[in-house]
Amino acid sequence: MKGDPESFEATFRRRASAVRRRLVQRATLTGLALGLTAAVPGAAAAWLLRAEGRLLAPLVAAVVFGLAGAVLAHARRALSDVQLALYLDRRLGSEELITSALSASPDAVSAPSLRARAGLLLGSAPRSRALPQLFAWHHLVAPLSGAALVAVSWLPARPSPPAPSAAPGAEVVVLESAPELERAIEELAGLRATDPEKEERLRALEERARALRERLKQGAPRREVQSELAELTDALAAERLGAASEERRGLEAALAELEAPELKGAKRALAAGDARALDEETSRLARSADPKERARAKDALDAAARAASEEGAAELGRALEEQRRRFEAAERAAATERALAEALDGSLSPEASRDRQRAQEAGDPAAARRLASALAEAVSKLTKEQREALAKRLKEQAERGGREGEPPTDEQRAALEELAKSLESEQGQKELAERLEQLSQLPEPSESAAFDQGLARAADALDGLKQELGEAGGAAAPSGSPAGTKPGAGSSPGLGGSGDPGGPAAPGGDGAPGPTKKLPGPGSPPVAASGAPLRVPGKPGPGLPGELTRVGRTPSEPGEVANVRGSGALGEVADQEIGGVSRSDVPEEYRDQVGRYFRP
Amino acid sequence: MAEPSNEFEESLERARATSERLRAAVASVLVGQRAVVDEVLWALVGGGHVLLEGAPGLGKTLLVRTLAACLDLHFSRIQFTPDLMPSDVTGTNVLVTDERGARSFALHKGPIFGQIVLADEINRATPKTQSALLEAMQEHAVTIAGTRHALEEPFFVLATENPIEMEGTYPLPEAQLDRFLLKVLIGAPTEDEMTQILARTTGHAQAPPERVVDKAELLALQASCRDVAAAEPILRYASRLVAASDPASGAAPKIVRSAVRYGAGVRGAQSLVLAAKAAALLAGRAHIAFQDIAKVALPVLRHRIIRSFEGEADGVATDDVVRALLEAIPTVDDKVAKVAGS
Repeated sequence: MKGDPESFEATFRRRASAVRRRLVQRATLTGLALGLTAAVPGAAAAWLLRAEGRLLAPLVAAVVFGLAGAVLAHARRALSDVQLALYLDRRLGSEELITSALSASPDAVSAPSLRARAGLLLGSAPRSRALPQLFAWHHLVAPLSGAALVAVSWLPARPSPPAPSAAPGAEVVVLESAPELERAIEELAGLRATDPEKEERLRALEERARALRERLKQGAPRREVQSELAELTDALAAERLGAASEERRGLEAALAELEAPELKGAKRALAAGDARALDEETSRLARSADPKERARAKDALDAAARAASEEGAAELGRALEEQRRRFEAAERAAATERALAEALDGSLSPEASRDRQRAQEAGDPAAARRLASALAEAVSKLTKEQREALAKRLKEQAERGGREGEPPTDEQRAALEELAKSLESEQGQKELAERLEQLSQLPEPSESAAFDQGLARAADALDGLKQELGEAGGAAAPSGSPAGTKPGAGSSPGLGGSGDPGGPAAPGGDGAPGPTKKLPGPGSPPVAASGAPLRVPGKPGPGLPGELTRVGRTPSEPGEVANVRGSGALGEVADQEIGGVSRSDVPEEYRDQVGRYFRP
Repeated sequence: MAEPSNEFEESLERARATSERLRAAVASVLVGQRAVVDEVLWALVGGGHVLLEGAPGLGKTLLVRTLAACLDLHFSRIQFTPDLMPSDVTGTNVLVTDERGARSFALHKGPIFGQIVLADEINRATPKTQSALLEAMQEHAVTIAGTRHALEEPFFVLATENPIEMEGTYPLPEAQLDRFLLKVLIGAPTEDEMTQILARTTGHAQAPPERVVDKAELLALQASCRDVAAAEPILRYASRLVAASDPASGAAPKIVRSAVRYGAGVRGAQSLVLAAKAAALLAGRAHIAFQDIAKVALPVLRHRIIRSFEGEADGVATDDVVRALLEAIPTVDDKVAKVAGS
């Protein structure tokens, strides 16, 4: 019977299940629409970020989350039986008949009637009328979103943006072999300082150079390599300047003893810390024709050595004593040359005669060496008769004086007697020729000059490597190395280095033959390193101080403190830096601009 | 289970037929006012009393008299005046002498002992006299000289009051107003109705209407009314509706908060459901629906909502408040509404 309570219950359950199923289907569609809608921005973002390959997982996740969320929300909002009855009453327009039938107590008088009526109503109502609509307007979003996803997936991939250019100097440099660095390491390894602290610093520099070599083999950013090279060359320059700055009082005392006009060059070389130039100047002074001048020079060197030692500059004192010994040796050699040249005066070539004149008048070491060479050749070519005749003549000169009849000095006499004795035998003749030949060669540098040259060669080698890296296309790292340490680069004319801008120079030392290097400057031919001086005393540039110019540094006077390494953090101003521009040698009219530039 | 079902179905059918007969009988005398007649019938079937409010000459008294004639019930009328005493309403013991000359007190019953009592212009009597109706309306009994007298069932009070000529009147206190199941407003007749009234009343006097419902039938109707089912969601709706008439309620609409001092109480909610049951029964249904609640809300609640000073000053009618309540309170919760709306 349709009207009995069981029938109503069964009908209601059937209808309720159908409604609930339909609601779940609706929720699923809603979740799908939400998931697809949420996936569209993700897909667009993936396309924009060029991550199309990783699109599938987020898509699936978005859809699954949308479905799960919708089903969960539906479960939380599931309708109770009474709510379903109210829903059915609304849908069927039954004025709460179904709700009343469901709620009616079985004992109520009206219950059978209500259930019968409700059962009839539910049984006869069309299914489509009782069920909620499957599709809602918001379900339209699902196909639209799907279409959008398909469209995004069909879009051609966005072109990749141009790769950002690497920072200047960031490229990795790999050098299996760096001859310049090897040479610098060799030079540093060969250097021995008498001062233990200086020796320790040299070894540390050597270690850094070796570490750099290893880094170059494995590869390192160009910028870092250049920076390390700049630091090494700076450190080498500091070592070269270090002796003078550390023994400043002794240096000042020594310089004070070199006030004579003929010692101007020696004073300048000593002040500049240019031991090689000092060697040259000592040699020139020793060849002076004026005995008084030589005596003054010798005494001045003596006094300077003493003064330096007394002021605690032991190393400088030793170096000056060595210079004095070299002075005496050169003086003796010059006396021999002069005596022999006088004896051979008629048989010398015009060139040799000119060299003799220059060597005697100006003390030109180069002319003296050429003269020595000419004399050696002349001596070696003497026949027995000529040799004996020459020896006889020399003896006569030693006894009665020169051609002008002036009596020989003791020094001349000793030299003449020694020459005469050497020419008495063939063996002596040979030895004399060899000795003259030795004099024609460059003298061995002094100990301090050799050390200084070693440092310079090491610095030059590092500079060569730095230039090589820079020419390879990388931007040169700011180094702050003294310009004067670059041989022949011409960037700092007149600063004590080779003063010829753009002129040729050789990075090699004057001893071992080194590789030639093509350097900037029009028409500058390669110069063989062998025999070329490491530093050629240059002519000071216009407007720059001529005297006491320090290599690559700010002109200063003895007694000033220059090149003090800054203390404190970057960006902070040390006390001694305040007002530094006004105390500097910057021209007055530029100080304002320079001050603004350095203003923190 | 089929038997009671048939009985109840038959009672429903009888109720529907009875209401039709009553409507037709009243309509033979009273022109128009179908809504008023229906509302009075709801109260009659629900066992409640009615307060009729309308201007003079709109047929209030005629309606009551016609109804009494149709129902074959004892009708009595009390014309309330300021000098009316409670004993004039309830009756009193009077000293009587019998044939042997013996004297004794005999109860002289007042008009309240009728079955359909017309309390005409109830607001013209003093509160003391008005309160004489309280016991009778609530308990269907009166106490005279310490003796309680039950009133004959069915007992039905139809009070009228005139909204104009308020001078010298005594508005009914809230406690007494609450005793009326419905407050029915009688509006002016339309032109057609007026024409028909003129045609009927300006000729010869008409024959009184037939008695179409007897006392037993009316009592059966009242009993069936109590059997009408009220589902819990509908009872909850009635509760929410009444609760929202309280301005302190969170669900109260804005007009309630601004224009109402006191809302309807428990008796109001009971009256709402009872009147809805009567309306459903007279419509031939065994259950009440949300629409029944909405249909009876105005006559049930309009006299139970006490306006605030601001409400009175702004001229807010209680009918406006009830309509706002019906608009503001949803019949079903959001979930059902959302699913049903899809």
